[in-house]
Amino acid sequence: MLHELQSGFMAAVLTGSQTELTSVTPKIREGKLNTAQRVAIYRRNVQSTLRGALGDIFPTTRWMLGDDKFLNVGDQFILHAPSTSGDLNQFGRSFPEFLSAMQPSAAADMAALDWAWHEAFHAAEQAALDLSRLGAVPAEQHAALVFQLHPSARLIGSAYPLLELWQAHQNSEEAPLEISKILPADHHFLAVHRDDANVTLTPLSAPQFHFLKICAEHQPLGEAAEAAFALDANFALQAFLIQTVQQNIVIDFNEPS
Amino acid sequence: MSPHHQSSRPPHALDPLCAGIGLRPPHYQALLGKPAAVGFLEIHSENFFGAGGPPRRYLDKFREDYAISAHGVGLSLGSADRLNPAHLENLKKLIDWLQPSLVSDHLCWVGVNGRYLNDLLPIPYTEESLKHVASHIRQTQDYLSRQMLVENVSSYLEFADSTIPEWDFLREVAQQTGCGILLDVNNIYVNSINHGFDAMQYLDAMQGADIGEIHLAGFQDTGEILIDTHGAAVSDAVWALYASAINRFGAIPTLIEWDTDIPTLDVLLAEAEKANVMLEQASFAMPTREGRRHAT
Repeated sequence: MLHELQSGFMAAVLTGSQTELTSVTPKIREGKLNTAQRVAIYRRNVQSTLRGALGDIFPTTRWMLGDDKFLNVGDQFILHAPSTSGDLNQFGRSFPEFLSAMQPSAAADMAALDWAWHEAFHAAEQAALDLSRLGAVPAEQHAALVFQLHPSARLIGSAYPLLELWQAHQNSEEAPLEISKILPADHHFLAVHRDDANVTLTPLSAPQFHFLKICAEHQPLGEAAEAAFALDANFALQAFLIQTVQQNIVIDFNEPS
Repeated sequence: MSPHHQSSRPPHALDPLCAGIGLRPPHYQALLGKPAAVGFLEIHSENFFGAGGPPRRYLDKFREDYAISAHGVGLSLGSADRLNPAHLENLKKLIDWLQPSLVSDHLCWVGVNGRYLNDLLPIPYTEESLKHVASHIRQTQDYLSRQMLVENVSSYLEFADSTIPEWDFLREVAQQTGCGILLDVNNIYVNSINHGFDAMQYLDAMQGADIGEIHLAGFQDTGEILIDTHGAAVSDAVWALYASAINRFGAIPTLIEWDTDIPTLDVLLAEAEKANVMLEQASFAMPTREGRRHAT
């Protein structure tokens, strides 16, 4: 009985449909307010909470779409992919794919960046790598080392200039260019990561992006380097590795057993 | 201190004569400069489930100076679903690290069939629900290896099948599981108006020894119904009901909740001070509550 009651009540609150409301009506006492008014209070509360959570987690996406459009697609998302956790910080994980499935766009890619920022903000701490440890590994073993990225590190590739758009939002609340005018033009890559307490966005070249992507897949340095050199024969491997260690993006490595 | 180290120190003792406030990001900076501004701080546990980053770093600082109460909104103790193992695990990891003075959640359901409305929804007060929610509370307490407090929620409807008054249901839950009660006096008042019962009857049904914490908050009156918004000062009627509660049960750790339209810290501190004055009076009127009255 409890399961049936809760399933029916949830459907009525989520959909707001008359059919669902009719089926729960006999289960709710009337009084000063009728059942429809009572369920509507919960529907408003739930909408307000879930809309608020999406707005908090996807501020740049919201800015790009504008409040009205963001609310509209957000409400569709809430119905299409209801929350699956009692922890609201988990709500919205599939929002980027949802937007992209509606229509690939700069805003859909920005949603992926907003989500990456959100995850990076809450990710675990990990101490920086001591570079001297790397120096102690014989050179002939380097290719077999498997590097580990910081728990906060996320790699994003897009045909849109996400970093410029993101920075524009940081600097101004003014509306951006109309979304339809932002055309996919090029490949843009960046790393989202926490450098100490602050979430940081670092632009990457294509070889740098693919190098880190392969490291993130727990493949050995040799393979990551090969991918980078295939894109740029002059890829400065050592300098980039030192840079990412200093930025706390690369934080550890496993020596070959 | 590293925020990811495991803590083994005992939690700060809670002073029942000194009210606490909800810890919210707009007040982080102001509170950092005031190490003894309030009796304790209460967090929404889920906001600190992430293993690191700024939320945990701030909390790591606050826990040095303050007793912390870890108050959850997502366990869904009254759901027909089984308890969410990932949620339980995240909660356990948090409290193992934090060592909070209190751990609590609500007498409600939040989702069913693996989907969540993320709102505190009322349960039908029946024998079936009682058995079910008691089992979930026992599982949670076993998993966490500690007692939890369970809070009464505001509601805007009653289920036709309910056969047990809410106050009897709440008392029974505590009696059957050994959990404590987080008595939200504002929620009692809101429900008494919304559902037409005498709030004193609710207090009559409580056993003081079960109550581990009291919540106070503000509501919104729509003219037809009271909505528990946590977005206003505590109303006079709720202060009066609070006075009745502490004069009857003795001084109990009390929290001022304010979650929407969050005011400046000073406004919250003034509300907490108002509670402190009443707690002091109650402790003189009824100094017998063992282990509650602060020895001064």
